[in-house]
Amino acid sequence: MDLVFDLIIGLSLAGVSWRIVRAREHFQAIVLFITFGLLLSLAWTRLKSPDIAIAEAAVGAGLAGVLLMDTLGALSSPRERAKVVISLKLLIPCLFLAGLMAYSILYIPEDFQGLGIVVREALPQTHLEYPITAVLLDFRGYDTWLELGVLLVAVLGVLCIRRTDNIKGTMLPAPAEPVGSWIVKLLLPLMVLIGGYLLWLGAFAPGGAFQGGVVLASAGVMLWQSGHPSLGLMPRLWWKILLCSGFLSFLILAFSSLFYTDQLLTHPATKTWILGVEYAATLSIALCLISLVLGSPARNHENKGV
Amino acid sequence: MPVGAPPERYGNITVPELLILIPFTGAILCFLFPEVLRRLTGLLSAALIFSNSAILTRSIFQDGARRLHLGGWTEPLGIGMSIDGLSILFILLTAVVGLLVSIYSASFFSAAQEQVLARHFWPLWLFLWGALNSLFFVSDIFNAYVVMELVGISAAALAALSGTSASLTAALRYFLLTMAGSMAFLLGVGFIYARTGLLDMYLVGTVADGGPLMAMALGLMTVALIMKTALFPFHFWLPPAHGEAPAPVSAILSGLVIKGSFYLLLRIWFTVFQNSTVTTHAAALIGLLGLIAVIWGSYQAIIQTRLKLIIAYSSIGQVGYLFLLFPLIFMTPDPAWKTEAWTACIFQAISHGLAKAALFLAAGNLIQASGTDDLRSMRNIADKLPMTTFTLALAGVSLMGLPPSGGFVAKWMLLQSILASGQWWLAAAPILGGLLTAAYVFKILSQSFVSDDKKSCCGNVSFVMEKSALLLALFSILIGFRANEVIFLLSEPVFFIIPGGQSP
Repeated sequence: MDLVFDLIIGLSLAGVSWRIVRAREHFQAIVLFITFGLLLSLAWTRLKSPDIAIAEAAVGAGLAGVLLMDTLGALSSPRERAKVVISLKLLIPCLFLAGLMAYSILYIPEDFQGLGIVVREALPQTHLEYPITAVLLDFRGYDTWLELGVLLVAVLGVLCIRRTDNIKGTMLPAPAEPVGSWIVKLLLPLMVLIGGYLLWLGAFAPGGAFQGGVVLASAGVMLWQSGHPSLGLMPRLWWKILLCSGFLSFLILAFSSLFYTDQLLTHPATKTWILGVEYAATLSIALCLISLVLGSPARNHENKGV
Repeated sequence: MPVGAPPERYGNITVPELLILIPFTGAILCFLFPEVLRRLTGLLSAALIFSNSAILTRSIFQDGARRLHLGGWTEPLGIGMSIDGLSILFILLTAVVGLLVSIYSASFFSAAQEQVLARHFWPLWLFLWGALNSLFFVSDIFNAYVVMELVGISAAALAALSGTSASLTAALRYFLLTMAGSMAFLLGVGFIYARTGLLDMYLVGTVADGGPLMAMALGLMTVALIMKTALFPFHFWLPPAHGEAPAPVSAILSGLVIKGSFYLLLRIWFTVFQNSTVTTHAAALIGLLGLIAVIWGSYQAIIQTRLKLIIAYSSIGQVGYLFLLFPLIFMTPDPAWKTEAWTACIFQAISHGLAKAALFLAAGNLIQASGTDDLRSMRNIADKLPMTTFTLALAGVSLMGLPPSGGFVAKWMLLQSILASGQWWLAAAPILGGLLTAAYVFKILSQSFVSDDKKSCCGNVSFVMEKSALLLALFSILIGFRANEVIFLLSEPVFFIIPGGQSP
């Protein structure tokens, strides 16, 4: 039964991606892309990676979908038919490469454990109960720190291209057809609750800063979709500080660790530190993602009339 | 402790972590501070990073390589950082170029219409500096991917800084290419992890073997990194991206950022894959691409008419030399000549970094003085901007490889090891490449001495900008006198990881 289900997911993934490539209209391609993201998150669930599944559903299908739709709205003729030409010159090397990869995958041992055993053995020393959270925030905290930096730099890059230092200046005007405000009133508290719950769950089950932050970010984007200024209401300095909070909390941890130990980023042996970092990271992930969606220079209304 | 990893040292007071913490702190402060304070914060951070780099260099020079375990977790569980002679040379290059470019930028962005650029320049540049420093400490393949993302995104954002539509197009193309490279690299990381179950470079290096998974990983990672380093068939993004950016950004991109991905390529080939036997033909292919890049890039530089494009195409040619290392290491029987080739290549990377940064800064002076970088606008500049002309000439001497410059030492050692290796076809690169380089350097210089009375050159260029470009050019010459120290830093016991897996 499992095999049948897996086969269905695998085949539909391949089928949907083929349809995306062949789609004659941008709108159709985007809708198919969102479907693809949802199917992919199902596939991650089947691969026993619920953390990635949540992130994939929220980012791959949700936020990426919003961004693509925004871009479509910014195109001068959004209904223009896309030229679908698949050149043989590209197809053959692509198939060759795909074949090579598929061939090498056969060599991955079936009982692959990776670092799983080492992580489980060291888990008691971290005061955390869930191995993935331990990897992200303790064993490989440096990676997480730099990833938070990547998000922050992405926002800085968008601001640089928009040549502004202020989210208010970059804010797109609210969409003409706001999502019914009653549905927002209903969903918003629920999403904040789910975001917080996912964050809290991260200590001992699938969930954590990234998943929680992404759900909060979707809530913020939805608020903006309904015609509310959303992040624009925030004072500029607070917006900046919260944008940095995740990166900054790791930075503070790094500096303070220099005083009491030889090695960078060592926690004191309590859960409080890790939780503090995680909460700050959630906030800044949510804010960075909202700013990226809202500040994306897709539609340039000032120049449209010229 | 893993075999082959640099040993840990205790009782040392230098703190290498500061080289990552200071730029990141500076970047955050620049982002939070009001605009008037940003320049000061940026300059202060640059001075602090420079002095810390100098102190760390001294420590590595005296005490040998070091190894850190982040979070107190040892490999394979945690992430390590390793600092050896190779890392420290690149750290020092970044510090010297970074400090002088920062001083230059403080003056360059002070004009009223440039203020808006300065606002975005400082945080992004300090982020990029921190990312480059952590790239040179990298010792973990997944961490390398994350660091490369940070380098790529901040570099692409900086490339779009001037805001013209040409620069936006170039930056977007650069961004897409660097993202494609990152994806390929990540796939390679996945394959290595699937084969060995490890992520630490030195640990992987001890257990890595041949086989389809490792071959595929090596291929993917190599393609990813040569795309980012702009080796010949993947060079197309470089001239517009580096040519359209403001001068200090071009200096950073051409002098430092492409060296970062090259450094990682060295780590992947000579640390991660040190024991696998799959690499001889690939090495010859990369060498061939390097040879083509030297000739093609230099030829393209000759036929350009804009100064910044000449300098950008020259980067493609000069980067080509670096890749001659691979066939030399894998096909030379004699270990002594391997070490020579290795040193030559690192020397080339460093002296090119210095000379190229000097050239772009000098081009920035010219643009500020005359408003354009068309070669014809350079007439009379020998009279009006003698120091900038001198900078162009000095940096050109280093690129051409005339004695006693750093470029001379690099190309001389390269030629020696090519002849010793019996790979005669590679000799075309230093000989033909040197001639072509001379051609475009003289093309630049000949214009500057043409006197043209009709044209009234030029506006003023600030003293600081001329001096910082000149200092970089001087360093690119003077590094030739410090060859012994560089050779020492690349040898035992400072450098534990032996190229090609054999003792030199």
